[in-house]
Amino acid sequence: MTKKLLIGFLALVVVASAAAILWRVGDEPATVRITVGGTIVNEIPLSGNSLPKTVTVNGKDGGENTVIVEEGRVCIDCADCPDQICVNQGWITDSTLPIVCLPHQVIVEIVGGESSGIDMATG
Amino acid sequence: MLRRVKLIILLAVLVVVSGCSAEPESASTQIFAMDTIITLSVQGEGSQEAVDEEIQFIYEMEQLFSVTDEGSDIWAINHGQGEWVAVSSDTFALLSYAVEQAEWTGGAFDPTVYPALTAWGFTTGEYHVPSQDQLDALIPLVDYSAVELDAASLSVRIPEGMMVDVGGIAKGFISDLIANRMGEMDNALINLGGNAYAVGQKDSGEPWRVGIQDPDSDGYLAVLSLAEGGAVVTSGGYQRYFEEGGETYWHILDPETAAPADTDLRSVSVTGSAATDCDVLSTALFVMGLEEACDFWRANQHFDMILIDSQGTVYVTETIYDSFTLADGVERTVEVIAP
Repeated sequence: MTKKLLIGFLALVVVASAAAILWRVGDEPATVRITVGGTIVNEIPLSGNSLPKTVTVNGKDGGENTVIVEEGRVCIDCADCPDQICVNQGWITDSTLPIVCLPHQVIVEIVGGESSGIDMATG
Repeated sequence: MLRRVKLIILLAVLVVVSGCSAEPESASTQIFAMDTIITLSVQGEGSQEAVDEEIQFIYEMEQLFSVTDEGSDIWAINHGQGEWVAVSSDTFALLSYAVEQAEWTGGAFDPTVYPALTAWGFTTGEYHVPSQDQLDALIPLVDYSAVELDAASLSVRIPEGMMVDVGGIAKGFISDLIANRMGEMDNALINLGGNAYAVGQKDSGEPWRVGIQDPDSDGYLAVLSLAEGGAVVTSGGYQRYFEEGGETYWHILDPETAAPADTDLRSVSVTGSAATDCDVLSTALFVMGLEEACDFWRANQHFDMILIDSQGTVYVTETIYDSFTLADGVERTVEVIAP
């Protein structure tokens, strides 16, 4: 009886561990994450029937950034920040290069999904 | 039979558990500082402590180097009214190096260009084209050779009206300092607003892959493989710019004219083992233009570069040609720059 319990327990550990590993390794679906000053304000799947989707983000200092999510890509379409760097950046399609609006402290980034094989971005 | 089953299960557990513990310790943090976005990702024992320490270090350096913060060393120098100003050893080291690099690049990089940047609105985002009279008045104020440095008293003096700004060098300088301290870690990725530095080896043993942004469309133009790690810094006229009267004005100014550099380049990426040099050179080579940049590389081959000209042609120095690949779906003419 004790042996059976032990085997049962061990089997459970194996299944749980394997599940944990598979869950970790398995690709989480790609998601657009929008943060303001480090706080997540919105998460939108990068794929699906709800797209295309337009979202208005309220950034720091009362600023506004308009984010457009389309199938597999996201951009900041317009913003009332002075430098327009976030708008100039255009569309992103993977996690290595977030779109950043410094004046409003807004970050639009892609998390999860298939790895692009790129470790770091410059530009 | 039971014993055998037990053994198999035990082995399976061991494999699974060891698989879990083989996952190395790692930590990653993203912050806004130094007027940009900074990401540190570190792998190895004590990685979280290492990241926390370096973030703290970045904030400390920002307080010294900020051009707008009234408590900074740079602010004190710029408001010294022509008198000597004592600064911290870090600020002194950085400014000394900035002046050296200005000499090295023949003034194509100049740490005193700030008043001109302000006149164009690049420091505030309130862009406008200054009059030629305004620019003529600014040109004499852009002159790195007027920066006086006294090593004995760690003091700096600049003429009244001039301003120093380490924006074009500080991110590289800080990256180098952080990278030097990452030696004990398995590996680290340091990215200070596009100043990218890979330290150590990737788990898989494969080279690091650094994506270089396409100045003329979305996404990447190319990927550079770094087997041994190192820095890659890119400067271009395609991110911080404005348009007025059909003309495009970018934020990289020619110190000689106090106006946006009249260059045939769209983007310059510089790679090497010292991020400070890469940072300075990406700006300086952009100002120089294609031909002068190639000559400069031939005379100083301790760095490598990828240049993209206004026609979209890509120029790659011979040493890194084999580590360079165009991104999927990108078609460009690629020319090799021979020594």
